[in-house]
Amino acid sequence: MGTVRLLKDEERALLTVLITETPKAAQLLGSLGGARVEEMNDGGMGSLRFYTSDVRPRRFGEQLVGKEFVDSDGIPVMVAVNLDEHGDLYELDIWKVDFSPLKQFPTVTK
Amino acid sequence: MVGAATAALGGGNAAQGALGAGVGEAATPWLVNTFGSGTLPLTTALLGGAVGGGAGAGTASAGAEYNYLTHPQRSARAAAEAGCADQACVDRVNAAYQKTSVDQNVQMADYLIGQGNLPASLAEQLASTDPGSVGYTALLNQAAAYESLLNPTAELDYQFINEIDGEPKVGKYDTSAADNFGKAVGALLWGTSMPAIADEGIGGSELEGAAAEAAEVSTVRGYPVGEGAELSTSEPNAAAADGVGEGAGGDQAGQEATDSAAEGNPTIQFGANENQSSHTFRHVISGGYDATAVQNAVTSDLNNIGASLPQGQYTGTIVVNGTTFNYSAYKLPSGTINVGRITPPR
Repeated sequence: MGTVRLLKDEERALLTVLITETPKAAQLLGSLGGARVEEMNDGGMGSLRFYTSDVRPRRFGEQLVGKEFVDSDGIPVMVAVNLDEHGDLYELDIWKVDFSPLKQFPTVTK
Repeated sequence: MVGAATAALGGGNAAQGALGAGVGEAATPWLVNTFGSGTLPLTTALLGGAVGGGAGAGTASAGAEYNYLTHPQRSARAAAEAGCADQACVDRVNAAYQKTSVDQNVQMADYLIGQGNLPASLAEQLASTDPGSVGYTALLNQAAAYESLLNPTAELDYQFINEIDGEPKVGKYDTSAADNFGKAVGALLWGTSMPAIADEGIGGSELEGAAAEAAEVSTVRGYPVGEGAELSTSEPNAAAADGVGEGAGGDQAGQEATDSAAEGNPTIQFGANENQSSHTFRHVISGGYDATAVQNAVTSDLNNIGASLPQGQYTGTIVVNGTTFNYSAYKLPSGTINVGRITPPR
């Protein structure tokens, strides 16, 4: 994984909107404040994995929410928030459907 | 802990190799202080041989020089380095993989501590030592030596997924042995610490057009089959195996384009390069499932419905060895079907 860092504003904004729409919003939004992430090696599509100091093994648990966006070049971008098996934030999965690098991070309005 | 892997891959005694490597690396700080780093390969080999016998003698120096990366990770690192235009890029790639190595060392320590065979003092030292330090590696190898002595089968399996830089692969992974224990542990190691490369090292213009190039030369581009098969016990699905199961082996296996023999089948991609393919299959791998079998099943499923599939997103379901997987695909205007997500059950 790459360097652990704090969420960028645009990432936090996207996650907030996506998570707000879910039944687990109250639990998960509170963990966004100090969340630290690592950029995933997905070829520049922008996926993130949430970092934790918890030593327990983590793996995919469930997809919390998914949404389709369109990049500035018109290519659809599928965004999903994944939870680990413990129910904690695990990944912001961003898949641009032609596998090309993301040109503009998805933005949302409430 | 690559010493044991060398013994295992070479047909030697893995426990003996692990002990040799463990002692050799445990002594590394002392060797550095005493002789300087330049003498390490020879002296650690001597120490490993003295303790571990023949197998240890052949593996300890490699263990001292290299940390813990799996073969696919080494391949991905090599590919990333090959794509670098300058030394700074190479340095970034190496730094990223060093981070991966450290992370995996931590996971390995967790596993070894969890086995309950370590002396309490050693477990405590592991827990309190910087995982990026040389001392941590030495402690880890001491722990592995203990574990290999008390639980040699588990240790052997654990090490089957390992490989050393700079040495040719001398034998196939023993997938039958890896299947029982190594599959679960390997998935833990592999899946939660997938090849990590700074995006700037391989991204940008170097990736521009990769998807288009892939579509031009391949029919199925996906999981590094030649490597994934090493952890797989399943034969490729005959219905979908044309061009999949025969992926070229070696370091560039994952991105060797293969052709489908079935006329009229859609072009199916699981990523535009090896890193993206690994990304697509990450949850499959971390769950301990057979990535090659899953890829074959998805390919078969899409081959069956591809012609009638409308342009746009499609969510499919497959069952592999009794396990249901969901996948997310997208049919492009060109007819190419890209698969970007595959998720196992919770």
